[in-house]
This record gives sequence, structure tokens and C-alpha cells, in this order.
Amino acid sequence: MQTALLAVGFVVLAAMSGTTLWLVRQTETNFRWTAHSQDVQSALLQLQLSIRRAESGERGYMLTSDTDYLDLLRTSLDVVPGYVDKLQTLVADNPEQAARAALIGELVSAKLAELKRIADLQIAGNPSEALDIIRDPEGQSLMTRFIDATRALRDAEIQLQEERKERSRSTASLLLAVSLFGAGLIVALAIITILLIRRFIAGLVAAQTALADANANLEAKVEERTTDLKEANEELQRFAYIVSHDLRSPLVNIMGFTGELDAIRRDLADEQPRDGTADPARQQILADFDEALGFITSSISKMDRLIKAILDLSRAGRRDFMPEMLDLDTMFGAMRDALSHQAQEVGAEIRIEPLPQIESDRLAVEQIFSNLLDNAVKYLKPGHIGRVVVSGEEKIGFAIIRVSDNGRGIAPEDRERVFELFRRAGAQDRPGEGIGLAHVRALVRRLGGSIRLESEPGEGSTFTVILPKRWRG
Amino acid sequence: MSDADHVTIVMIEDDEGHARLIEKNIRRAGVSNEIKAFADGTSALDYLLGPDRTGVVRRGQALMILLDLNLPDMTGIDILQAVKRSQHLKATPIVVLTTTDDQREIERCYELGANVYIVKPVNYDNFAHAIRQLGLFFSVIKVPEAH
Repeated sequence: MQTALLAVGFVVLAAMSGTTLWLVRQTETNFRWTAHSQDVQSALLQLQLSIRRAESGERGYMLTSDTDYLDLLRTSLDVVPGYVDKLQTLVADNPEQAARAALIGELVSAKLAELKRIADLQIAGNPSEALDIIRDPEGQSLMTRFIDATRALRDAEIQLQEERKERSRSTASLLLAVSLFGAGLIVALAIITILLIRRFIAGLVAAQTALADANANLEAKVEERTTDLKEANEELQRFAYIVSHDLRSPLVNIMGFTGELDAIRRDLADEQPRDGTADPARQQILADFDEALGFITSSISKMDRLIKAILDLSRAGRRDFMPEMLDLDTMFGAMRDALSHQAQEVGAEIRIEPLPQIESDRLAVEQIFSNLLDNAVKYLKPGHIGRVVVSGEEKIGFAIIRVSDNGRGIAPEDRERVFELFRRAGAQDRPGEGIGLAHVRALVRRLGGSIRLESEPGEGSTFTVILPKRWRG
Repeated sequence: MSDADHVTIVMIEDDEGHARLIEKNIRRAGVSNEIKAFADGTSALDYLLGPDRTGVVRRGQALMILLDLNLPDMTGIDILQAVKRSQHLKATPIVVLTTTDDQREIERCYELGANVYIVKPVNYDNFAHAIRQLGLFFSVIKVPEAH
């Protein structure tokens, strides 16, 4: 809209300038032509005047024979041809006027010849003959025709001048009209533009205000949500802590008194050899007793491990992070060395590509990646040379680190489950409680990052960890 | 100074089972000292510090305190602080015996003057071993009389 308006304004200005320029030129031309008419008339006047002077010189000479009159006649006769030429040159552009000028030229020549002849006769001392020529009506008629011809030419020229003046006037008024119209148009355009700009600015201000409001609102909302989330998280941590604690207490009793039962069983078993013979039924009871105790003990151990895992997870959530500059190349090198024995046993190779530096909590980052590397080595495809690759890159304030393996992979339906506590995927042929990845995800989230899993069953898995380059609580 | 045999063991433990297990293992370790068991903090403090909470009631007695941190009416930390504040009992050895192995809690207990911190292990052998170690501790430590 603004652009179109600007274009229209520009076009109007250009057209106005063009028209004005043309009209000014036109006025100039008109003026020149008017002046030209003036020149023609004055040339004609000069011609007539000099003819009259010649005539009166001749008459004076005739009457007085004073040579002063003869000089007047001669000088007048000398200048007349120049005036005729000038007149004819001036009207050469106009055929009608040129014809009239030619006629005037002829008449003037005839008149001059006549005047000359009279003067010559007078000089020769033959005044009667000279008077005869003067009396001859032929000379009179020549003069009348000359006057008529000059009048015709002057009238035509005056007519022309009038026309030119008229044209000049209309051009001038056209110029004024065009100027006024253009000025009006420009003013109108300017007003429209100002209105549009004002409306635009008002809209802009309104949008800005709305945006500021929305921002303030959003910040308040984010603040609120963050507080809620923090509270919920803290509540969860406390809950996990208390639960694991309080679960452990009865477990101590179960374990303790199972131990006591075991002691009692031993006492009972010790009694047996006194009667010398082994009672098979009694042996059976003792064996059953052992089996039951074995199950109880192993279950307690398992439960203890699970509770410990929950406790560890809640502790990881409560531990204060200490951000420091971490050289991931060195860190991963150390992790690879720690895993080298394990990797050698299963015939796996761990390659570490150049990694970015990050500022984060050392222990948390170590726990995250040692878990991922551990898993990569642990869940390889049997009969394949294991290959684990760690690669990294940096993007807008984040470090992206990928741990890829060519192991057994994770089925699509298990890709979310593996991150849950106590959940494991695939063949359960490796020891584990299903804690590692839950722990990893909790740590990554606390570090303000995210973790993604891409996997193809039988092809391998890639865990992508995105961590902020600088962790700020 | 007194002989270790005259030391009274004050056990503050709300879980009866735990109390019984501790006692059994103490006895098994060959420690025959008198054990006074309390299942909550208030009655334990009544015994240790008396109604005026100064501890003057225990003056001249050799005591050793076995303290659980999770009690129904107060935390073991409260008891630890109260005992250490008492002019008469502040030299009494205190063994914290609890399920918590939280590093911060352990540090806190040592800062407040606990002598030993033992985590109740779930593995029975370890548990028995820990308690027997405690018996050993009795025979080595010189328990001062409260004065």
C-alpha cells in the first residue's frame, strides 16, 4: 500500500515536471514568435518611414533645388534596399507574408526607380519632365499600392501576433492549472500518506504494547510454572528419599531375623548327629528350610539394590552441581581406558572423535556418559565386532554428543521405556536393574539438556545428548 | 575414669526389631553391659538429661549412647545436640546407628560430636559384623563418667 502510494506520488511529480517543462518551453516559443511579429512590424515601419523620407527629400529638392534635400533623398534611397531585405528575411518562414513582402519589394523597387529618375531629371535641369513624372497618376497609384501592400502585411502580422498572444495566454493558464492540479494531488497524497503512516504507527504501538504485555505475562507464567515444577520436583525427591528410607527399615528387620532363623536352623542341624543316624525326613525339612532362606535372602538383596537405586536417583537430584570447564576429550579418554578391559573381553573397539569443551558438573557428565558407554559395550550383537563411536559438535550454545554403537539395538516400542526406572529392553541376558538410563535422563535434564535415542533393532543405537555449553543453575 | 563393665549402654531406637537385633548382636559380641532401651526421643531425653534437661541426674555415671536418627517424636540430631549441650554429658560417646548413608547427614553428625556413625546394612553378616565391631569399640574406648 505504502509502496503503491509512493509510486503514484512519484509518477505525479514526474508528469507534472514534464508538463511544466513542456509548457515553459511552449511559452518561450510563443514569446519568441510574438517578438518576431513585433520585429516584422517595426521593419515594415522603418521601410515605410524611409520611403516617406525619400519622397519628402525629393519633393523638397524639387521645390527648392537645395542639395540638402538631395542628400536626404540619397541617403534614404541607400538604406531602403537593406530594409526590404530585412523584412523579406524576417517573413521568409511564412509563405503568405513572404509573397506580400515580395510584392512590397517590387513596388519599392519601382518607386525607388521613379524617385531616382525624377531626381536625375531635376539634377540635369529638366524640372518640367520631372514634374510630368510626378503628375503621372502612375506614380500615385504605385504609392497607393505600396501602402495597401504594407497594410496587408501589417494586418496579417498583427493578426498573427494576436493569435500568438492568445496561444501564450492559454499556455500560461494551462501551466497554472497543471501546477495547481499537481500541487493539489501531491498535497492529497501527502495527507493520505500521513494518515496511513499514523495508522501504521498506531498499529505498531498497539502491537508493541500487546507484545510487551504478552511477554510480561509469559514471564510471569514461566516463573510460576518453574516454581511449581521445582516444588513438584523437590516434593518427589523428598518422597523418594523418605520412601526408600522407610522401606529400608523393615528390610533390616527381615534380613536380621532371617539371619536369626538361619542361626536357629544351624543349632537344630547341629543337634542331629547325636542319635547317630541321619533322618531323611529331617534332612528334607532342613533342605527346604535352606531353600526358603535362600530365596528370602536373595529377594532382600534385590530389594535392597532397588531401594538404593531410588535413593541414588533422588540424591542425584538433590546434589548441588559445581560447574567447571570440562575437557571432554580427556574425560572420554579416561572412560575408554576404564572400559578397555571389558571392551577387550567382548572384542569391541571404542573410537572417540574430537569433542567440544563444556562448562558443567564433572561428576554428572561423567555419570551420564560412562553409563552410555557402559551400555554400548554391554549390549553388543553376539558374533559381531563391536564398534562404539563418540562424536560431538557445537550448535548455538549447545554441545551435541552422540554415542553410537552397532549393537543389538532397541525395538521401537521400548525406546521410551528404557529411560524408565527398573525397565529394561530386549533379551534379559545381561546383569542389571534397569537403573542406568533412568539415572542418565534425570541427570541430563537437571543439566538443562535433553537426550534422544535413535535405534534400529539388530543395527545399533545412537544416543544423542544435548547439553548447554555453560550450565548455570 | 571407670572400668568398661560399668558403662551403661543407652539405646535410642524406635524399631523394636532393630533394637532386638542390636541387643542380640551386642550380646553375641560378648558385651554384657546393661542396656537401657528407649523407643522415642522424649523418654530418652527424660532419662539422659532429667526433667530439668541439664543432665545433672546422670552425674557420676558412665554412659554410652546408641542413637537412631529416625525417631517418631524428634530426630536423632536433636538428641545429639541436647546431649552435647549438657555440661555433664558432653563427653559421653555417641554412636549413631541408622539406615541413612546420606553424606550430608553423616557429616552433620560428626560435626555435632558423634563419635561413630554406623549404617545399618541389610546384609545380615555385615550387620552382625558392624555390631561386633561396636563391642570391640566398647573394650577399647575409655568412657568417662559424667560429672
